[in-house]
Amino acid sequence: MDREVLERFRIGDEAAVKAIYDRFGGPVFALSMNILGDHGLAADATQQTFFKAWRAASTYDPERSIGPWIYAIARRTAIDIHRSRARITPSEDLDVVMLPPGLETAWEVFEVRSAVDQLPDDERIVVRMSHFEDLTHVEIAERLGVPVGTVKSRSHRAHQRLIGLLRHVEET
Amino acid sequence: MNPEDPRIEYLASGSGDPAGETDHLDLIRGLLDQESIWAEPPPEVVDALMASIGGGEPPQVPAAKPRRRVNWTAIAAVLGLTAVLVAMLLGPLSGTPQPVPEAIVALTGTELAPTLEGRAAVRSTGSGWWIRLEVTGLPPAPEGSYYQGWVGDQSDAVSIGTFHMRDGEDPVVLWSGVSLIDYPSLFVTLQEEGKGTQPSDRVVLSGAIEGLDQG
Repeated sequence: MDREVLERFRIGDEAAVKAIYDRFGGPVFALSMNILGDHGLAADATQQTFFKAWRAASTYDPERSIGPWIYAIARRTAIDIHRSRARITPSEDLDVVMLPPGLETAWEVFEVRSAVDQLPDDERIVVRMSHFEDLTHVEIAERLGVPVGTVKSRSHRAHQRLIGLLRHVEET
Repeated sequence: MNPEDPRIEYLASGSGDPAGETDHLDLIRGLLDQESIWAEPPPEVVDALMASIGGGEPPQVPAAKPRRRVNWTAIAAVLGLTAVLVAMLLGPLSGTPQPVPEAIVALTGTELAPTLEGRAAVRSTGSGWWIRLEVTGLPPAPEGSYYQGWVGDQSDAVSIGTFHMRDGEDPVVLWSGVSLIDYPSLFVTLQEEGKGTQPSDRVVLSGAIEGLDQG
């Protein structure tokens, strides 16, 4: 992110908080959904995450990448919400209470969503239709009103871009 | 392997696989079909976030200093004083964030105040229903009077709080101890001090609460 935005975020500037939200709101919501499995709880977790980030902004070091810093707050917030919900609705399965499902892949989900959000719109929609909606390239072409070859080239470019953006995830 | 598998496209493109990138696709593919990757946060999240932090600066955390001999009594006194000052200055900012609304209620002025308009964000919380009013054009309540929010109707109204608007048009946060699913209308009256606890007939603003999850 722009260094100036990060500096302004550090002193609590509202516009900078909004810019941080615009960049990381999707990944935080995705991570929260992955851990909590509920849209309402994930929305609460997302709001709490950015509120906590704003309150702790002065501790953020602009020399370091802000993504992992936001991720750490989001992960902790989702776990706290999961545990508070577990206390309200006790489960006989203690493992379920202690370890939210989806926690193990939280970092990957955060990073994949971050990468997806960085794709150009025309590539992103092809990836979504292909993977999430399980459409063939012919079906995507019909839906978008473009030649099948265009869908294939967008899909290829998108996957190349995703591989490049996510290479570090596998390394970690 | 699916004929439309991106790995086939990738290999067919002549790019080769110099760094095991087709294996890397497996990690991506395993996540791209999950709902969480594509789920979008509701727009109310950012509205509530910005309302929570609006106009303030976050509490400052002092930078670490080199170690030296210290007077702990003096430090404790300074910290205590600082905590009091911070609490006084930032008290309104240091609470919990405002809830994400479950529904937005459109409010319109009545015949008494036809130019008024506003909205109310509502949400069920563990301690009751949180209601945040944003109204434009509502004048300060005259001395000796005040505004009062209600849910229900004139014959079965439950008060959700009072306010006066004498220092600006800041949003007003009210609370209801009864379910807004059971009392699905909201109105605001102008009340005179000392004239009882029932809603007056001077209704200035009203709206129907819709869109709440009945479950």
